[in-house]
Amino acid sequence: MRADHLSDMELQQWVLDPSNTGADHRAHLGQCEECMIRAGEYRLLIAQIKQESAPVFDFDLAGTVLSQLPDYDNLVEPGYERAPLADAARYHRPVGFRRGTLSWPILLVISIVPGGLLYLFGKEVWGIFSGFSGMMLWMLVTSAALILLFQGMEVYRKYQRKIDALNLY
Amino acid sequence: MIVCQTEGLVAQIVFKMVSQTEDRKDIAQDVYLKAYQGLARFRFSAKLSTWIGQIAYNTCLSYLERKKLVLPGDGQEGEEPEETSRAFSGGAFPGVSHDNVTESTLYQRELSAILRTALQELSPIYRTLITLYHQEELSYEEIRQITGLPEGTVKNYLFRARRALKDHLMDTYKKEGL
Repeated sequence: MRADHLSDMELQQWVLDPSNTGADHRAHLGQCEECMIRAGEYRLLIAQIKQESAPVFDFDLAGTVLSQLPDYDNLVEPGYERAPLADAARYHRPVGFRRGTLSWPILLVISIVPGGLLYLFGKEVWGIFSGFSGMMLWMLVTSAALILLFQGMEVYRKYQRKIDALNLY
Repeated sequence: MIVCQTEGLVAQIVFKMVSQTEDRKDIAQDVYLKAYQGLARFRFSAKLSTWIGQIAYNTCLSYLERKKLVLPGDGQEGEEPEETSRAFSGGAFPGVSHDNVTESTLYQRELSAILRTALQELSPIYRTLITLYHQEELSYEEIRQITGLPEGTVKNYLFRARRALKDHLMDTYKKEGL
């Protein structure tokens, strides 16, 4: 057991996290009334800090901020409700870049180009695979499916991380 | 909605760092306007509330620097608390017995008033760290992200702040004989 008194640092550590205190410190605290009293002072202080009421602004902060944002009303498309957290993503989108304005052309290109190629060279494409054995084809399909699965899982994990970050508390 | 959900944290930071009541409103608005302008730079590496807390802290810090107000390391209470603590625990006030310093003698209301005074005497950054850790119950990592201070510095400042607060409480106890 320690003969000298614990330092303030050690006492604070003990008050904040008793489980992380060394056995010799605990043994000293069990015997030393002065250290226990000093630890009690810290405990009282910390309890008191926790009880202090939180300050609040005496004005409508949200209203004041929103009134200063540019084009606030125009940023929300008709037919959409102002979703709580989606507001953030919507506000920082540049004016003119609305939901759906770019995604439809991209989808159109994605479906037209391979579709057109398949229409034009469908027989040749099928010919490539017709030379493969059944097992080879099965392995190819399985590998592609696995890659897609893992990619999908990764995308989902990233999405979850972002959602967690947006969870305010 | 984001404003409503993070307003408490921002208020804690602004109230603890800025004493001038008339400036708090401008600073609080400034925080959210900066958040709005910088939202595209939010990289999801921290929680959104932590990121807004970081903006609030930096905005307050800029304000304090502009006003040339005292920060830790300027030789205020943070530098030499060891001496006052030792002086007390070593019997510098022989008339004061530790036995008297208990919850039963320090009444809640008086204690709260003394604590508020003690907090006011701390430097803004110490005050903010104490609030973030003990009232907002943020982790060292979250406080590190908000303040940009290394984790060791956060722990050290918190230790010094707690000791300064405790010393203040004990000194007041002695003077007022609570």
